[in-house]
Amino acid sequence: MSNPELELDHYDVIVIGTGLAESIAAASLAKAGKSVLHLDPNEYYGGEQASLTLDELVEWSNSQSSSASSSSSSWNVKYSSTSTTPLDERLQNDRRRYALSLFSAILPSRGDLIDTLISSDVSKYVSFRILDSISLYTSEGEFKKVPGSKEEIFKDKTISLMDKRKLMKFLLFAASDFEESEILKGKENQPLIQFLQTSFSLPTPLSESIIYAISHCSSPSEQTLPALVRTRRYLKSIGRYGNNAFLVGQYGGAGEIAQGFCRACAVFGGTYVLGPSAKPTSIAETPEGVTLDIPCHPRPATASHLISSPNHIPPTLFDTPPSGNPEEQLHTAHCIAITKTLPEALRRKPISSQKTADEEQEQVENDDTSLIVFPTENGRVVRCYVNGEGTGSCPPGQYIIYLSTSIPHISTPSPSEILQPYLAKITNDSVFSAYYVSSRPSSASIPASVSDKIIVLKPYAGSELLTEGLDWEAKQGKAAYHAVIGEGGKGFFEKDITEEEEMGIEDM
Amino acid sequence: MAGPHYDFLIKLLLIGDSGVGKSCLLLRFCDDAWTPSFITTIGIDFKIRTIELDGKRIKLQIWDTAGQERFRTITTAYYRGAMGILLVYDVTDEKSFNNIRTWHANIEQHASPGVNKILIGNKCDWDEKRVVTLEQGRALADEFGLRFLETSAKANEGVEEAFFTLARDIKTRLIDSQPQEAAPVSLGADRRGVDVNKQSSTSQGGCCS
Repeated sequence: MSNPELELDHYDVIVIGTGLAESIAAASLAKAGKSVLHLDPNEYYGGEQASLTLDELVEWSNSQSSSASSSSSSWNVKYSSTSTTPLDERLQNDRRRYALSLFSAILPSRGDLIDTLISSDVSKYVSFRILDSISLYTSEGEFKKVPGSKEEIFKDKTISLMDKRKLMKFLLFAASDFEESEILKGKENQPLIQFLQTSFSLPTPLSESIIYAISHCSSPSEQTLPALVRTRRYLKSIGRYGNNAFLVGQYGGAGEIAQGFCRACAVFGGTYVLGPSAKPTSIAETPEGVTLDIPCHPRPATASHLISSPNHIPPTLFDTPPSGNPEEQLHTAHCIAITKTLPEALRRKPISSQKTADEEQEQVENDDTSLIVFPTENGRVVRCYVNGEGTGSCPPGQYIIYLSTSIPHISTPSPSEILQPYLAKITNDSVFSAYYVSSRPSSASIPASVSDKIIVLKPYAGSELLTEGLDWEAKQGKAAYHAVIGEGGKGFFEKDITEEEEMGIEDM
Repeated sequence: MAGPHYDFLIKLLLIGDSGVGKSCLLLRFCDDAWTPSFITTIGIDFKIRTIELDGKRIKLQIWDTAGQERFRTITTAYYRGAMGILLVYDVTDEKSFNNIRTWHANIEQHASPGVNKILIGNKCDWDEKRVVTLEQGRALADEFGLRFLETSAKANEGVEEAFFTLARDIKTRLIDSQPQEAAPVSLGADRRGVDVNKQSSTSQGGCCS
C-alpha cells in the first residue's frame, strides 16, 4: 500500500481543503450519492479551522512567517507577524495533549451549524459542553459575570430594580419579531448604543453589558438592525441546552467538527488524500468540468464540479484578477497562551480557608470555559476565550487562553504589544504564548463562484468570528451543496425513509 | 422508558491496512455474516454488540476506519475515547504485517495512553497463501507487549475470542478497578457534556420566552 492510486479517474465532485465548510459540502454530497474526492495539501485536517498540537502550532507559525511575502491570491485568509515562545521540556513531552484552534469560536445553540450537526448525524462524532460563563471586564478592573438567564438577572444584586425592568423590556423586544415594530422604525441604522439609551432608557454601563456580552458586538456603534438580528438568535439559544447560549466544542472545536464531517463523507464512500501528494499541480476548466493533475494519481483526475476555498484555486481561473486592495482586508491580532494556574475570571469556589464550610459552597465548581470581554478606549473589544481541561484540549490543571481584537493595520504595533497587557489581566503565569495577525478579505471582494463548475467558498469576513464564524462555515458548506445539486434535487442531508426506520430501532 | 439494556459501554477501534479484513471481522462478530465481495469499506461507521462478562452486560461499540486507512488519512478524532484497539494484519500479506509498526506508532501518537490493544493475524484459514507465520506474529506482539491471536472471519475462527479477550482486558482495567457506583453507564462519559440531539429539560424557555 506504499503508493496507492485513486480508485477512479473521474469523480462527481473534487473538494480541495478540509476546512469546516469544505468538509460539510463533501459530506453532504457524498450522502446524496455523489462520488467525492477530498484533498488537502496540509498533513492535518481542518484547513483554516484546524486544531493543532503544540508542536504543529509552532511549525505552522514558523511556516507562516517564511511564506508571508508570497503574493498569491488576496482572497485568502493570510497570517503574518507570527511568533511563539520556546517549548520547555515539559511542554515538549506533552505537546500532543494540546488541541489549539486557529479558529477559536463558540457555537450558538440555534443556527446553521447545530442544525447541520443534527441532520447529518455528525453530532455522534463530536462532543460539546455548555459555555460556563461570560464575563465583562469593568472599568473598576473587575471581572463581572454577565447573567445568562432571567433567573440570574433577578438574582443579580448589582442591577437596580428599575434597571432590571428596562433590561427585561429590551430582552423581550430583542427576542420578538421586531422587524415590524414601531420602536425600531427609522432607527435600523442607528448605532446600537444610541438605540439602547434613547429607545429603552438603558444606562450606559448596562447598555455596554448588552452590547459586548449579550449581542457580542465588536463596537458600540454597530448598526442596530444587524446587531438585533444576531442578539435574537443568541437569546433564543439560551435554554436550549442549558443556561448559556453557546456550546464549546471539545478537543479544539472547529477542527474536530470538520474531521467529523470528513468521517461522515468517508462513511458515504468519499476518498481522502492529505499532504503533498494531494496538492494539485494543475487545475484546468474543461467543457465537461475540471481536470486536475494530482501527485497521488498517475493520470489526470476529472470531476464535474470543483469546490474549494480561494487559496487552492489558481488566480488565473478567476475572471476578475484579485484586487489586492489592502483596505478590503480585515486584520485581527491573535494570541494563544497556556497557563497552569486558574485564571481569576474563572473562579467560583471561594479560596478555601477564608470561607465558612457551607455545604452549598463546597458544591461549587470553578468554570472550565469562559468568554471574557474587555471593552477598550478606542471602542474596539478584546475578546478572551478560555478552555480548561474539561474541553480535552489541554492536560489537567491547565488552561488555553485565546485573545483576539480587530486592528487597523498589519504592521504596527505588533500583536504581542497589543494583546500582552490583556493576557496579563487574565494570567501572569503563562508557560507558552503564540501571537499572530490574520487578514481576512472582505466578503464582497470575492466572486461567489468562478463558473458553474468551480465553486469558491468564502472565508468569514466579519469581526464577530468568535460567535458567528462556525455558522458562517455551515452556510458556505450548504450553499456549495446546492450549487452542485441544483434546485429541486435531494435536500441537504435529507434522510432516506429506510434510514428513519433504522434510527427508530437502534438500540439504546 | 426502561433504562439502558447494558451496564457499560466500551468503544473499540479497528486499525490496519486496507484489505486485511477489518470490516469482515466486524461483520462476523456483530452480524455473524461473511461476504467475500467486500472490496473496500463503504458505509460501515460502527457496529454494536452487547456481550455478557461476569454477569455484566457490556455494550461494545466497534468502529471501522471508513476506508480512511488507504491513504493514511485516519482522523485524529477517530481515536478519541477509544478504550481498546484491534490491530489487524493479513497473514497472507507481508506488507500489512510490516505496516503494523506504523499503525502502532500512530496509536501511540493519537490514542489515549493505556488503551488496551490486541494484535490480530486475520485470514489464518488460508494456509496455501500464508506468508506470515504464527511465530512471527507472536514475536511482534511480544515486542510491543500486545496480546495476540490469529483469526479467520471467513471460517469464523478466533473472532469471538479476539473481541472477548480485548473486552475482558478493558473491563479489568477500567471497571473492576473502579469503586462501585450506583449507575455507571458510559465509561469516560462527560458529566458536563451536552447531547445536542436532546433539548435541555431543566431550563427551557431561556431568558425571554
